[in-house]
Amino acid sequence: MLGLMLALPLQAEWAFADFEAVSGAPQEKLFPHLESAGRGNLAASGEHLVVVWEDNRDGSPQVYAALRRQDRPGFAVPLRLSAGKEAYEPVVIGLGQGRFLAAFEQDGKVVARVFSATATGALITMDDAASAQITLATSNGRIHAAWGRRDGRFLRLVSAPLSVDGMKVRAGSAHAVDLSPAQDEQLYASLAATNKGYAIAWEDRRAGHTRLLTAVSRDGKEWSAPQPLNEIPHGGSAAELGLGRGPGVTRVSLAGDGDAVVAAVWMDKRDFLSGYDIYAGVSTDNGSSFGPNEKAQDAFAAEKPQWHPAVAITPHGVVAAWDDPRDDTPDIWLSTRHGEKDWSDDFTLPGASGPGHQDNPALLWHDGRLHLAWVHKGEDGAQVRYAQGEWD
Amino acid sequence: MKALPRLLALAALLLAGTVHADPPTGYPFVPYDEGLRQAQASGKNIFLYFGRYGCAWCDKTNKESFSDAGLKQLYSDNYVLVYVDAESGTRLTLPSGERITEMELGARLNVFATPVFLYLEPDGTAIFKAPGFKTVQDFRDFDRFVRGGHYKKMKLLEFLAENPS
Repeated sequence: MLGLMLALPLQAEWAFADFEAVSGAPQEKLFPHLESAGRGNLAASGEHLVVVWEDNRDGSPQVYAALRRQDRPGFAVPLRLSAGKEAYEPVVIGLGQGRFLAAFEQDGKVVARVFSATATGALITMDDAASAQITLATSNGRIHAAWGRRDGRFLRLVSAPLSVDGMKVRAGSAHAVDLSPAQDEQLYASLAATNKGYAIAWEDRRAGHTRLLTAVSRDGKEWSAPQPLNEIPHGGSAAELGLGRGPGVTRVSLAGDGDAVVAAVWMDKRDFLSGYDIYAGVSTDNGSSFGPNEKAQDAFAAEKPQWHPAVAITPHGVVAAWDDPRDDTPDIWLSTRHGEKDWSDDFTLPGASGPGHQDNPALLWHDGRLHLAWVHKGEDGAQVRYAQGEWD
Repeated sequence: MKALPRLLALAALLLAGTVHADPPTGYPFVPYDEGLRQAQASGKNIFLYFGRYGCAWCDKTNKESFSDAGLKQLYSDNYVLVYVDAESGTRLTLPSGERITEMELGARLNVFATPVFLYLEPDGTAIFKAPGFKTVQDFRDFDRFVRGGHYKKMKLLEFLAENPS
């Protein structure tokens, strides 16, 4: 038996450092939210890492960023990025040399600005039309954005290239991602850069229920025909009764490895009795096609609903993060995809589980570390927290 | 004559809307913020319907229960009716002042399946939650339990055992 044990390789796993406060000390009536299209609230650039979120510390919902040196713990005092009456759902990407580009909804329109630890560029309006739910992607100096533009009764998905010169950002012409006439809402897109352009996924209601659709583009101007991402089970009592049109799916997030792999995670209610489960799909052809849907969570999560999925691609496998209340209150849970289709047992980490509520994770793989941010809610208020993990 | 195709198209659009599990037609459902304001002004309890676009059991409840004229009258007269789309990014303001999306409200209230029906006091305090398809009689029983104030003294099942339909 001892010989057998010695012969077994030690199983590597993620080891996380102590968590750090991002948004300052919790305060009564302070409500931080780590929400965005594609959950793109974390980025790295040069020597810095940044988290962007929204809270009401200035009396109304506004967008803030907190920077941290990558080589030492501790976040700087939050920097306010928004300048209007209210702002929501910020996303951020790294531009290199310590500069970042943030985009968010401000007073009903999507806006963007460049910032760093020492300077802040001008805020530009990306779209003069009513717009929301912006997502960003960058690779090899290319930058692209996609967002929902109000078109009559519906939000319709458009995308545009961006260019950055120093601390100035400029938006190119926006194009519809889907050229067919607007039929219903297109919501909460997530964009990823690949070695052949961009992949995008979004919620689409044209079928009378929500479908997740994907498309790819070389230049962001012309997109491929939408392809379904989530599989729809056939049969079942509701379908037999002629009721409803499909199970719920929502809040898809994409991550790319900068090469040909794109991973998607989303909330899926195909097994509706226990609420949403976390499902995933992986593409190895730049997002042109995705493999079969895979359930990312383990069986111990089966009886509880899962919420707020985020995803990162690492050399050690695709990592999904979400929150669920399997231990009565919400905690952050993660799972790693090993090889093809095999997801690990769910795991959590100190500070992201235990007393209080821990929810709304964001993930980033950068420079050999898995970066995780989330919202903690305790008796003394709420704060954004952060921890970084290594494959050990 | 040109107006006829437009009218037919509009009628088709409206009819199509009824099978998408939006709120039942003919009921005065309002958004969450407006419902809280109306409830605080009127002193009425809130009936909060969590639906989902394309939800089968919402569709069934709309067709088989909310189509009842007596139920429509009972709930329209005595409740502030609020509809929330459980997958929507539409924002609302909680009594605490916090701004969240309709979907986030569902996450906070553990709305794990739709439909879910919540009964709230006029200040937004939850009374009880009823998940899944409910019959006309279920809704009438819930109304007796809520408007009679019995929820302050006993659980729903205790009330129904002592006061059957």
